Amino acid sequence: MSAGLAARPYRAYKVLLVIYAVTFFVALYAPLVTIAVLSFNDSSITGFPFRGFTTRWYASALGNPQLLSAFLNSVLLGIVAAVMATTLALLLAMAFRRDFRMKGAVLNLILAPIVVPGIVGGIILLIFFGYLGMRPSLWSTVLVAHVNWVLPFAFLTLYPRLHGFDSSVEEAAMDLGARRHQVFAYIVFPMIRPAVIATMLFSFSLSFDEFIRTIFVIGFDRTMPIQFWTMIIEELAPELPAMAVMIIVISSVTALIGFALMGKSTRRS
Amino acid sequence: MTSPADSGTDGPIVAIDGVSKSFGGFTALQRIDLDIARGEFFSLLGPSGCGKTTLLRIIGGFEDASTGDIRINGRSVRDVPAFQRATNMIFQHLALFPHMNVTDNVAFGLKMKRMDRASIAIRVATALEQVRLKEFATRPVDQLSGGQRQRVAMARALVNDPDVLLLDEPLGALDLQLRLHMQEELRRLQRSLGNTFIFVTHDQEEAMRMSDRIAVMDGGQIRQLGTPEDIYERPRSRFVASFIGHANLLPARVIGDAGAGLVMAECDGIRLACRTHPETPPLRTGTIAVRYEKVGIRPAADAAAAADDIATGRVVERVYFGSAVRFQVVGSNGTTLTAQLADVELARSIAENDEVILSCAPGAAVLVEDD
Repeated sequence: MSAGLAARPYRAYKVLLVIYAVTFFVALYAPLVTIAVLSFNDSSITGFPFRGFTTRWYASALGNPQLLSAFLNSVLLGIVAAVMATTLALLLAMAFRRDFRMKGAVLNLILAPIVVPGIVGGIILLIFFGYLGMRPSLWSTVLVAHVNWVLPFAFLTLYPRLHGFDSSVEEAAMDLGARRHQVFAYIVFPMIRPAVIATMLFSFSLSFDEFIRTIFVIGFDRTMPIQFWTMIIEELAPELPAMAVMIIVISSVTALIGFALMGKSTRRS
Repeated sequence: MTSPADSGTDGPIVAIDGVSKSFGGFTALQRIDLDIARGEFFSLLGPSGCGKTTLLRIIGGFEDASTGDIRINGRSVRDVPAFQRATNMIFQHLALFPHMNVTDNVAFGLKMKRMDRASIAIRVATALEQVRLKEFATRPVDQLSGGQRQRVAMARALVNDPDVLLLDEPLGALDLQLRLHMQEELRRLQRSLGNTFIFVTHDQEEAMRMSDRIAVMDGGQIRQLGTPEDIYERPRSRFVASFIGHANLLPARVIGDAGAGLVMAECDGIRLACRTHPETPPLRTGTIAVRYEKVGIRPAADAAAAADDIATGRVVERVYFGSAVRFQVVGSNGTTLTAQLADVELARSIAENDEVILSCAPGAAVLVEDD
C-alpha cells in the first residue's frame, strides 16, 4: 500500500516529463518534417494544402544549372577548407602539447572567430580584403573566410584527443629506434586518424552551411546557401523545400559519420 | 691496456659517473656513481620520489643528466638520443601500440632498424615463443589479458637484443599471484638470454627475490649497494634497515667490544651484541636493528634463564599469519619489541597478556648509523 502512495506523485512527474519531452522534440523537428513533406508537394506554391505526391522538385532542383554549379562549388570549397583547417588545427594541437610563451594569448587568437558575431566577421573580412586589394571570389576570399571560420572548431575537436595522448607510447616508439617523424607517421597519426577524419567531416559541414561571412566576400560566385538566398529573394522558387532537404541530409550525414568516428577514437585511447 | 675497440667486454656495461639531475629547484639525483656489470639483474629500489625512475630514464635517454656522464659499453651516451641507444625499456604502463596487433608491436623495433622481412618474421616468432605468446600473434593488443600484455611488452623490447633492458616497475599493476608468476618469468628470461636487466621497483620483496644486486635509493642518493643478502643481513643505515623487511629499531649507545667482531650496544637496559656493516665507521651511538624473526620468545613460566635472554615482558598483541605468528611485547623496562615465531606449535602456547621471555643470539642484531 505504502508503495502505491509513494508511486503516485512519482507518476505525475513522469507524465509531466513526457509532455515536456514531446513538446521539445515537436518544436525541434516539426519544421524539418514540414519542409520534408512540402518538398514532395505537387503544387507550384510553396505551402499547404498538400495536392499530391511528386518528386519533380528534386528533378527540377538538380536540373537547374545555377543551383547545380553552386552545389558543386560548396562541396569542393567544403573539402578544401576542411583539409586546410584540419591540417592547421593538427599542427596547432601538436604545438599546444608543449609549453611555450604566450600560449594563452595564442589560444584566444585561435578561438576568436567563434565569439565574433558572423555579420561583424563578414564586415571585418570585407574591409581586410579591400585593403589587400584582393578581388572577391570563391577560391580566394571565400576560402580564406571559411578556413578562418572553421579553424577554431577543428582545433577544439582535435586538441582534446592529442592532449590526452599518452606520451609514453611515443617514448616507447623512440626507444625502439623511431625518429621523431617516424613516431608521428607510424604511431601518433594512425592512433588519432579517426579523430582527424571526424574533424574534417565537421569542418566540411560547417563550411557547407556558412552564409553570413560568405555573402560579404563572395563577389559574383555562388555557394549553395548564397544561391538559395538569392532564389528566395528573387523568385520564391518551388524547388526550395527539395533543396533544403538535400542540404540537411548532406550536413547531417557528414556530421553523424564524424560523431561515430570520434566515438571510436575515444574508446580506443 | 685495452684499446677503445674492445672496450666493452671486460668493463661494466653501464657506468654512471657523477650523475646529478635537478628539475627547477628540486634535486632528483645527487652525484650518483654506479657500475652495472654485464649480464647482471640489477634493481634500483626505493620509495616513490627517491630518484630511481629518473635515473632509469637518464640511462634510456628520455631525460638528460644535469651533470655527469653515462657510459654504455664503454662509450659515453651523453649525445646519443634514445632512438640510437642500445637500451630498451619496458614502461610502467607498458605503452603498447594500441592500433597494432601483437606481431606488429613486437616487430616495430626491427622494422625501424630496416631489417629484412624474413629475418623480422623469424626473430618475432622466436621472441613470441620465448614469452609463450605464439598463439596470440595476430591478436589486437586490446584483446589481451594483463599478463599477456606484459609478455608483449617484454617481447617487444627483448626482440631487439638490447645490451641493457630497462624495466620501470612494469609489474606494479598486476594482482599478487600474477605478479609472482611474472617475476619468475622475468628472472627465467634474464638467465636464459643473458642480457643485463635494470629493474626499478618500490617493492623490497620483489627486488630481493629477483636481483643479483640492489641499490637502495632515497632522496636522490644511493644509500646502500649490495647483494640482497648483504642488504638484508648487514644494513648500513637506519633507513635501509627500516625499508628492507621488518625490524625492531632501538636507539642505542655503544658500551664496548663484545668480541668476535661484535660491538655491545645498549638501549634502555637491553644489551645486544651487534654485527656492523664492514664499512660502518666506529660509532658511539646508533640504532640497533633486530629483525622480528631474530627475536626469540617463550613463556616466562616454563623456562630457566639462558645466556641469550635480553628482556622479560608481556604480550600486548598476537597476530597469526599462517606461516608464522607475530607478538608485540612490552618489556619490563617499557620498550616495545616485536618477535616473530615460525614455530607455530610453540606459538600456540603463548596468548595475549602472557608473561614472556625474549632472547636474541649474539650477532643476530645489527648496529646501524642513524640517518
